[in-house]
Amino acid sequence: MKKASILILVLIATAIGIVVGSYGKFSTYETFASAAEKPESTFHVVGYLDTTKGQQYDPVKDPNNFTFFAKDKKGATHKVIFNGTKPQDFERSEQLVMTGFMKDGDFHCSKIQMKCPSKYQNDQIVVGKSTAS
Amino acid sequence: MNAACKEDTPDGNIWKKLGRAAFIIQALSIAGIFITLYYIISHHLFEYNYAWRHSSRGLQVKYLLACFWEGSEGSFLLWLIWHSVLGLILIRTAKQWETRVLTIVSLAQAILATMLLGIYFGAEVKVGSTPFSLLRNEMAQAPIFSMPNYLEFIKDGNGLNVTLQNYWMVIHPPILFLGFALTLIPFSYAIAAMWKGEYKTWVKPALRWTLIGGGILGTGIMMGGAWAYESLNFGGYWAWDPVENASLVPWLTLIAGLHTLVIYKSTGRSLKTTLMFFILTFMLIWYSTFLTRTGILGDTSVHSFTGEGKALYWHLIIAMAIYLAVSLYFMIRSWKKMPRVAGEEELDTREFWMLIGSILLLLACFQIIAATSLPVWAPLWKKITGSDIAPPADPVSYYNNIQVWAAVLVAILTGAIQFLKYKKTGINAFWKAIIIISVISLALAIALIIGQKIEHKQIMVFAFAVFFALIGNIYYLVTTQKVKILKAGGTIAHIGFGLMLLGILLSGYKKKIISIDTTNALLNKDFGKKTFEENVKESHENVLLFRNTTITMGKYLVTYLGDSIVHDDPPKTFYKVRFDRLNPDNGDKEETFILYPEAYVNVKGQEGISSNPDAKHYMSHDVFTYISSISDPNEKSDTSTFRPAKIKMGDSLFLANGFIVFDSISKKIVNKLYEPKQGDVAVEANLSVYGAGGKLGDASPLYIIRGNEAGSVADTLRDFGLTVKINKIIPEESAVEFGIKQRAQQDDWIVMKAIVFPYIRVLWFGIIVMVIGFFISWWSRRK
Repeated sequence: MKKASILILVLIATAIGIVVGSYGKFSTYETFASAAEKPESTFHVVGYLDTTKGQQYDPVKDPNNFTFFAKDKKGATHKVIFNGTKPQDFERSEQLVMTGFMKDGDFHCSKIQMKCPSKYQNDQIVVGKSTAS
Repeated sequence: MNAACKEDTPDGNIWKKLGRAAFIIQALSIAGIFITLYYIISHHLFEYNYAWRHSSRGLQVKYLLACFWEGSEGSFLLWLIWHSVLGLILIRTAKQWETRVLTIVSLAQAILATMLLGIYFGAEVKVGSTPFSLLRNEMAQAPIFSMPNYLEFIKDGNGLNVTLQNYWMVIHPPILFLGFALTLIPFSYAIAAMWKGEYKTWVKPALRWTLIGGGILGTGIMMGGAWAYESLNFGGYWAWDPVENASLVPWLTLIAGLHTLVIYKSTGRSLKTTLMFFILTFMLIWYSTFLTRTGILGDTSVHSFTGEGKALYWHLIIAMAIYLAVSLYFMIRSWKKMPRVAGEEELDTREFWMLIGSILLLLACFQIIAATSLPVWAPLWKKITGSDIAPPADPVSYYNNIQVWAAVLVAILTGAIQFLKYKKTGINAFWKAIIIISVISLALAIALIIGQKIEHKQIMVFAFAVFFALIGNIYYLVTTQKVKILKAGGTIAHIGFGLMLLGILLSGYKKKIISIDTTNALLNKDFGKKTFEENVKESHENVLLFRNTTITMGKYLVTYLGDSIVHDDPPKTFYKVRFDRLNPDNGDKEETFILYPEAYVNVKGQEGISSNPDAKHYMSHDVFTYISSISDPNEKSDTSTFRPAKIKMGDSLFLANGFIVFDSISKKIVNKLYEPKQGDVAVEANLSVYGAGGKLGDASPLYIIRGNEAGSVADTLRDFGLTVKINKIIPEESAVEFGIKQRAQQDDWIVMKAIVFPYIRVLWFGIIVMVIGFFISWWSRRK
């Protein structure tokens, strides 16, 4: 084989090596229960806001601490401690993707991604008082 | 109306004329649709779903265009318009390539137009989505539509999402879509060349179109970054969000194609590679549309444009299948017939290393797109391995750590390659130049590493590579090209690229959040995990500020002074935040500025705030601040009653966080709220208001006797939340009974975040230089 082809192949092989090697960086979607099995690692948990239980955000005490309860896909409800401000429109979220880890039965997360009815639009009709325009 | 599709055969003038006429008619139709839709939006015809969903009456005129492309249909329409414009230009300029190139353009145009059809086949299958559907059809289940006069109830539209109300959002989509549309032209030329079996004369027009495409698409991506930066939705200009990646990757492949095309032009090699790059670029544009519009990204993207769902999903797959089939057909048919240069490239030639660089870009793209497409392949992965894979917990560092090496290699190649010659090189001259450049770059890199206190090894290597690219190209510009600007478009683009990388290095590495909540940092020990190092910082990036209290952030003393509301539609609240920088040695105030981050509070039934940052721009860095949470405006004790307080002249009264001094009474009136009338007897009390940091201002309440009535005019010091009025004057004691009202400070606070981005201007400047380089190359190749 020619030198040039060898070099290109080496290049491609290295690149594939890097991509495969970085595979470990990927996270996985877990439930609260399966995340609790490995308390040292960070996972994504998909869940829903449990509106029957209370939320707590008191910025005067700590602006970076927001706690609420979430139900995961298996139906288990756990307390979630988010270290940030309470996200906008939190109650309207249909689904939450939380990134964090389990500790002592609580889920500590640093990132919440909310799925709202629509990210850039809200489908509420604003109805005016009935005087003809 | 919009399905003006035509087939023209390569032979016969009549067919050509017919094809031209048909294309012009379809271009006019598209323009007609565009104008109609704009009319609907600008005249607030809320009967139409599009206008209702994306616009509102109170919206400023400049944002009406942004409404236009907020929706999926409007942006497809925008894309169609650019295709028609480019098609019309091609009719004038393409000459012997016109028939074939325009056939491909028309094919793409026809496929794109079907996206707007909005026709149902049966009850389930919907093809495309028309922007002209009526609101009552879109929401048939809503009860108000059963009334014939329902339009009288719909007074206003939903409005444009407030984060999109930014001037970048008016200009960024048209430029980006022009860039998208421009990738069609090299693709069309590539297919046309294979179709005709002629591989010479297509090079020049294709090269120029690629240059302008690279410039425009690059500008469009940069504008998206500028928007992300200014609105701070992504915490910076680039967050490796799938939507960003999806537009970056085709740009990179286009650039790779540009370089291999230059190789082909100079040496006759790399023809197949070039054709494949152009096909790939165009396919990737459609693939990015697929990723971002169908909602497939779901949980992984912050801003995927959901909505169309299943119908669009299959629609786009079919579209991509058609393009792929056409490309493969021509590729296979002409594979054997393509001209080849005998023999292998030598290692000391320019073309060989340029090819390596292009392949590197391709590999970088492969990594980005593979990781971005995770939601596409994750279901398959789950079937095979059983694990439900998710994106990396920290995507930014994941991409950065891999892509930094691609950037290092590409930067070094960029700096070195032009010292090699095509076909054969005097290798000694090459080494001489490389050694000079290496020494200078190494010196500069070491200076930077020490000056900026860079600790990570990969960043050190990156710093060297960046300087290598910069110095290499500047050296080449001066020594070989003798600073002839018109000839040096490529070199200038490369210098811009180097500056851009330098900007990325400086701004990314030294970005600093200065609003760290130190008081609570110790309480949340739970976040002190090693893997969560960054998140410990993240967790305390927000700081609570009561009105008129001061907190140290980085070099600044930051004070929240109060808010004020602008009654736009929707109403906007400004928060006044003062930054003071003190001299660390003697404590003198060196600099003071006030930032006004703004927020929309509880807009349109939403709960909470959506905030826009404000920034102070310096040559070397930007200070950003934005509001992440506020006290409930309804709970402010603004309605608290006036508390009576008798003060003798010259005495003072202590308040919650300061005191006032009653200086004097005078008949000279300064209070601007007072409108004098004939026969009034008016006196004014002069009070000085002091806070913890010294005098804050004067208050001048008024006492008036008008006819038989006594009245008073209060004076307010907003920053202090203080309102003072005169209840009565007691001359015998030379005292005044004041009514004093002070909004409780504990009810008025903001939670804010402040970030310092250093050297961001280097990045913008670099990108601008790069784009200028593209245009110089494009211009100088016009003959």
